[in-house]
Amino acid sequence: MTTETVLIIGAGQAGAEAAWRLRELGHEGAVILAGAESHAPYERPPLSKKFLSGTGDTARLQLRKPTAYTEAGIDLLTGTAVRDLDTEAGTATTANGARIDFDHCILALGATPRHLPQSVPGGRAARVLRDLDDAAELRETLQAGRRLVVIGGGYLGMEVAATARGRDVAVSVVEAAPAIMNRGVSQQTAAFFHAAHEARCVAVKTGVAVASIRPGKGGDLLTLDSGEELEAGIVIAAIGVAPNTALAAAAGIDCDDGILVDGNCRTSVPGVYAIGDCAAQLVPSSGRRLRLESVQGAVTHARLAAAAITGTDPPPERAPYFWTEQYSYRLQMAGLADPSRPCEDLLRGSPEDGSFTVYRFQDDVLAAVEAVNNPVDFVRSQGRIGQSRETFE
Amino acid sequence: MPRATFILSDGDRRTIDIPAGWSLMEGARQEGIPGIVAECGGGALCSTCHVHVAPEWHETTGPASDLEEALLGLAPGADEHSRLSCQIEMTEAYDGLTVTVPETQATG
Ligand SMILES: Cc1cc2nc3c(=O)[nH]c(=O)nc-3n(C[C@H](O)[C@H](O)[C@H](O)COP(=O)(O)OP(=O)(O)OC[C@H]3O[C@@H](n4cnc5c(N)ncnc54)[C@H](O)[C@@H]3O)c2cc1C
Repeated sequence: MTTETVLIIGAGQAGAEAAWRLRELGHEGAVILAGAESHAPYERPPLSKKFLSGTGDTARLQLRKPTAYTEAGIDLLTGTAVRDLDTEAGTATTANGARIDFDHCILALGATPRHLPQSVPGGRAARVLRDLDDAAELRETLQAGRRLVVIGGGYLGMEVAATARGRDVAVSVVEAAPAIMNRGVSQQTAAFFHAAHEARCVAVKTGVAVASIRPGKGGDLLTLDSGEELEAGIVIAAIGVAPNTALAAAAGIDCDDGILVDGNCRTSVPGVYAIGDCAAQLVPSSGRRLRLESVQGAVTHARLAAAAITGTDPPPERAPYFWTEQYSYRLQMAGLADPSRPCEDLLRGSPEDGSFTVYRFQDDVLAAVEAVNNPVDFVRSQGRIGQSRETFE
Repeated sequence: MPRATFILSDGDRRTIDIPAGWSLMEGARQEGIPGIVAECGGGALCSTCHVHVAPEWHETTGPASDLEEALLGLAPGADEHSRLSCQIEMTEAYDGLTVTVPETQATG
C-alpha cells in the first residue's frame, strides 16, 4: 500500500495541491507531478489583476518554491506533457515518448480558453489569457494610450478591463448577453460593476456580438452585429473555457463537458481521479453536476482525491467560493443559486458607498451570498448557506 | 533577507528566509509551511492564514487593522497576539520574527 505511485497529470493549482495533500496525509509511495508548462506550479488569479497591472513578479506567483517539492519528496516534472494514458496497464506516455508507471492517476488538466467561433471572420486575431506566458505578453502590450477591446464581459474580461484602465489604456467591452457577469451574480451586483466600469470610462456594450475582425489602420477593426465599428490595438477574447478532456476521453474515461467524477473525484475508471477545472463533479448534497472554475474548487477536489487515495476521511463539503477584484472593489461569492429557479435577493449595506452584501434566497433557503468590500459579513454568512430564511432574520 | 520562525501545531519549528516586501503568508506558502491555508490568496478577505505573533514581537508588528481585527474574530483560538500573516509585510526590522501556527484555521 505505502509504496504505491501516484501520478498527477497537470501541475496547476489542483495538481500541486493534490501532491502536497498526499504528503500531508502520510502517503509514502512516490508522488509524480507532471506538467506541460515550463514553470513550477503558480496561481492564476493575479494574472488578470496584480501581475497584469505591472507590479507582480513571477516568483511571487509560484505556489511553492521549486526546491520545496524535492524537499517534500515530490517529483515535479515541468515541461512534461502526457500524450497517452493506458489505465489498464497503469502507464502514461509523455510527448517525448518516456513511460511513467503508476498505481493511481490524478488528472488535473485544467481548461483551455475558447476562441471566437469560426463564423467570426478574423476571430483568431483575438488573444486569450490563461497562462503566465499569455499574461506576460499581454502585460507588455497594455501601454498607456492604446486601445483595448475585451470580448466577453465575464469575471475575467471585466478584470482585464479594470486592470487595463488602471494603466490608462482605453477600454471597450463587448458582451453578447444582456448584462455583464451574467453567469451567476445578482442583478444588483452586476449593475454595480457595470456602473463602476462606466464611471471609469470603459465603454460597456451589452447585447451585441462581434461579427468580424479585420486589420485596420492602427491595429484591428472590429465590426459588431449592430453595425458599429471599433478600432483596437489589442483584442482579447474572454469568452469562457473548455475543459481539457481529450486525454481522458481517449483513455475511455467518461466525459461530458468535463471528466465525470463522483463526490470523491473518482472517474468511471477505478484508480483514476479528476480534479479542478477539467472535472465535472456530481455533488452529493444537491445531486447537481458542477464544473467549477475556481481556486477553491481546485483545492477542494485535490483534497478529496488525496483523501480517497490515502483512505482518510474526506474533507467536509463546503459551499463553492469565488472572488473577483476590479478597481478597488473586491467581490466575494459563496454558494450557487440554481439558475432554473427564481431568486429573492436581499440587499444590505449601500452600493453608493461601495460596500454591500446581497443574500440570495431560493425557496426561503439561503442559496448564495455576494459581498462587495464586506469580507466580515461575507465570512459570517458563508456558514449560513443552506439555512432557512427564518433562522437568518 | 529577513528570517521568520514558525512554531507548528505539532511543536516543530521551521525557520525560513522571506524576501523583504513579501508578506509572511507568501513566505510560508513558498516553503509549504503546514497550517497556513491562505484560501483567498492574500489581501485580508478571509481568516485562514491566522498566526499568533510571539509576545516579544507584538510591538514590532503592531496591532491588526480594524478589518483584520474583524476577520480575526472568526478565527478559532484568536487572542490579543493574533494577526493575519498576509497582512505582515516582511522588512529587515522583522528579522527573527517568531509566530505560532494555530491547530485549525477558520475553514481549512
Ligand atoms: C487570469 C485568470 C484569473 C483567475 N482568477 C480567479 C479568481 O480570482 N478566483 C478564483 O477562484 N479563480 C480564478 N481563476 C480560475 C482558477 O485559476 C482556476 O480555476 C484554477 O487554476 C484551476 O486549477 P487547475 O489545476 O484545475 O487548472 P490549471 O491551473 O489550468 O492547471 C492545469 C495544468 O495542466 C497542464 N496540462 C494540461 N494537459 C496536460 C497534459 N496532457 N500533460 C501535462 N500537463 C497538462 C496545463 O498546462 C496546466 O498547467 C482565474 C483563472 C485565470 C486564467
